[in-house]
Amino acid sequence: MSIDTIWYTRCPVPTAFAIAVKLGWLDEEFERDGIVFRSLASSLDPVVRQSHFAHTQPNSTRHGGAIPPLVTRSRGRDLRLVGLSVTSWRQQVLALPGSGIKGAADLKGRRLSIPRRVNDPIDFWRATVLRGFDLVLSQAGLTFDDVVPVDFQIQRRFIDDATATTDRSEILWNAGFMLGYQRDEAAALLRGDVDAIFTQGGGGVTVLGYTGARVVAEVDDSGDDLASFVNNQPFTLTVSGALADVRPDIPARLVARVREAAGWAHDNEREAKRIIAAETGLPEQFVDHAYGPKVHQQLDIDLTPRRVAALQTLHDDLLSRDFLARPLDLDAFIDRRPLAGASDFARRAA
Amino acid sequence: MTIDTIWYTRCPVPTAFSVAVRLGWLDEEFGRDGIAFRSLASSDDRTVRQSHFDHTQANSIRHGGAIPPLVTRSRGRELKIVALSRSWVRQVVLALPGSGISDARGLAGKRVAIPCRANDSIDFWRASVLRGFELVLKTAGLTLDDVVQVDLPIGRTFVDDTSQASGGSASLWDARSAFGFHRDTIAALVRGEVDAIYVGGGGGVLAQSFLGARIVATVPHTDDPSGWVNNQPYPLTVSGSLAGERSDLTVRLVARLRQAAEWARENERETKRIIAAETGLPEELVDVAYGPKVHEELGIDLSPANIAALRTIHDHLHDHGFLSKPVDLDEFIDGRPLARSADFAGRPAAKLVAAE
Repeated sequence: MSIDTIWYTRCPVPTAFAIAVKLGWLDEEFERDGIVFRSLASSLDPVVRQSHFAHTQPNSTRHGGAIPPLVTRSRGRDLRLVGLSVTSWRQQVLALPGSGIKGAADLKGRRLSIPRRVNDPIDFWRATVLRGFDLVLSQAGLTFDDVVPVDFQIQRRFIDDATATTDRSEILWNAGFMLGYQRDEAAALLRGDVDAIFTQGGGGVTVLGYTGARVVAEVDDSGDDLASFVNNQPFTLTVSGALADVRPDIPARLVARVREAAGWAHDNEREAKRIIAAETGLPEQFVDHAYGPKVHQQLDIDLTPRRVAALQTLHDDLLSRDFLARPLDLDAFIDRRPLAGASDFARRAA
Repeated sequence: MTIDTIWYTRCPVPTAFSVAVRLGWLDEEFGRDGIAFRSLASSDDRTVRQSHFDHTQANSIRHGGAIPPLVTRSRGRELKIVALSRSWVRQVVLALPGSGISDARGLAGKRVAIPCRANDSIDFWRASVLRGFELVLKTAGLTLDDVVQVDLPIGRTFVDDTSQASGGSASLWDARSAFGFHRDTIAALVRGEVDAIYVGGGGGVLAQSFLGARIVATVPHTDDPSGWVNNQPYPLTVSGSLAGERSDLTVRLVARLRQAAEWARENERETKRIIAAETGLPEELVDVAYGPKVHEELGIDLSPANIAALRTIHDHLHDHGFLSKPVDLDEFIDGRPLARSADFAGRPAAKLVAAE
């Protein structure tokens, strides 16, 4: 199969994939074969951009949140998972001062914001919020039965707010998108329609900045049991099925470059954090706050049993909340060949 | 007079001063004489931090918005302006989608937010908002009398939101203060208590993104700066002592800032990273807030155009009752350090220290 274009996309989270993109390593890798390496953002076609979630674009690759690949795979899309990464990130519940909410236990009987994107085929954020609140509530011995979930509808689609820029390596989700990401929930909080909202990563510092809200509870991610706190993680590196079957060298080379980018980030903290700030739409100052001071050391991809187990937990969570069309066989979803074969392509001449 | 410490502060706006600070050039310059060069943020003392506005700290320097120095000078504080800078800044009026406001004319009869810092001695932002609305309304032949001014009392003080950082060169104003700056007007807009808010620069871009608000009117950028400046030109001010007995230090300061402005012109990428850090912005929004050429606009001077623009701000403040008495600008401005700074232009370039 002759491939002239590889399409790619990444979530606005810290990934080695994004580092490799920004360093130009992936452009360079595939240029050897005359293949154009294009971000989905380089097209304004909503179908192309929607592939960020549905993974429909032919010969495409994606690194980011785990929920969309799990959902689209459960609906029958042919894609393969070739790497997993895990990064610490803040998962917080915010409430306004004067709400009387000081800890997770105080959420009892209160109205929690559960947004629903009615026009998005894969509402990963709703799934994330549900799991996030569940994790926080369970720390206080509570469940959703003890609170008042406020289901509120958001009409705008994620891609409606994607970047207007169409540069070849542009991220779909720019700073403008990220700063306004939770505006509907923040407005509900300010108007008094809800008592608390869940937020993740840079969202906490952003929303509390402009609303004056306080962090009243936080998911404890200090333990070793990854499965007990991951949410929309591990971040999955996925490729179209055809790419994995017909040109297995391409995923292997991709994995090789991404792993090298993780190594580069480890050794270049300052520049890596500048890239992470740009990718997540944050001022550099907030990177450590959102993702922890060691984020540059946490970007490597692998397929260790620990990470696969965490993915299984997330899968089971999605299944129990009816986000999946059918259960997935993760062993069939995971393709270990590129990771195993990546060493054949290591450290090629820059 | 022996000086062992020079205190300094800068506003979260693009200035050659902040570039020089981030490059370590001023530490180095005054370190030659064994003088500690300390940001006001290196102290937790509120009085020290409040000097950002009042210029009370002994042997202190400030580069930033024009309103506080004009106000504190009118109240009798001994300080001098030794240079001015001016850079483009986006000034807009925002309204929520569905407000029915589509241009400046549409503001007639609408409720506009006029924030009022009840506990701040110098409410520079109220003065800026009044000027911003005046400039916008003028484009439609309107005045403040044609809108409903909604006073929004704000209890927190500017200093309450200053940085927790206490590193020697940290700015008082960080990303946290930038993200929270417009919180009160944002809430008023979301709750439907006002129809429109005025915002400028980085904070304005942030507010617009948070809200998904629409720009309904923009302050036009005229050739004559007096027609658009707001809280500008940015004065570089020094305590009376640094203009008098130890004016040699001020001359050296001015020389380094002129070099920093040149460095910025030639180092766009790193300069914009510094401006992003100083203004609390994601880097990609620097161009939106301050224009793509901001790195070329950091030069300092005492040009007639800048002095005339400063007079415009002075008169605005006087008209709205922000000044205790009119300020004699000729007396306020000391042109000697700028004139003598060329003598120091040939010093070996200081080491390059990357921005933190």
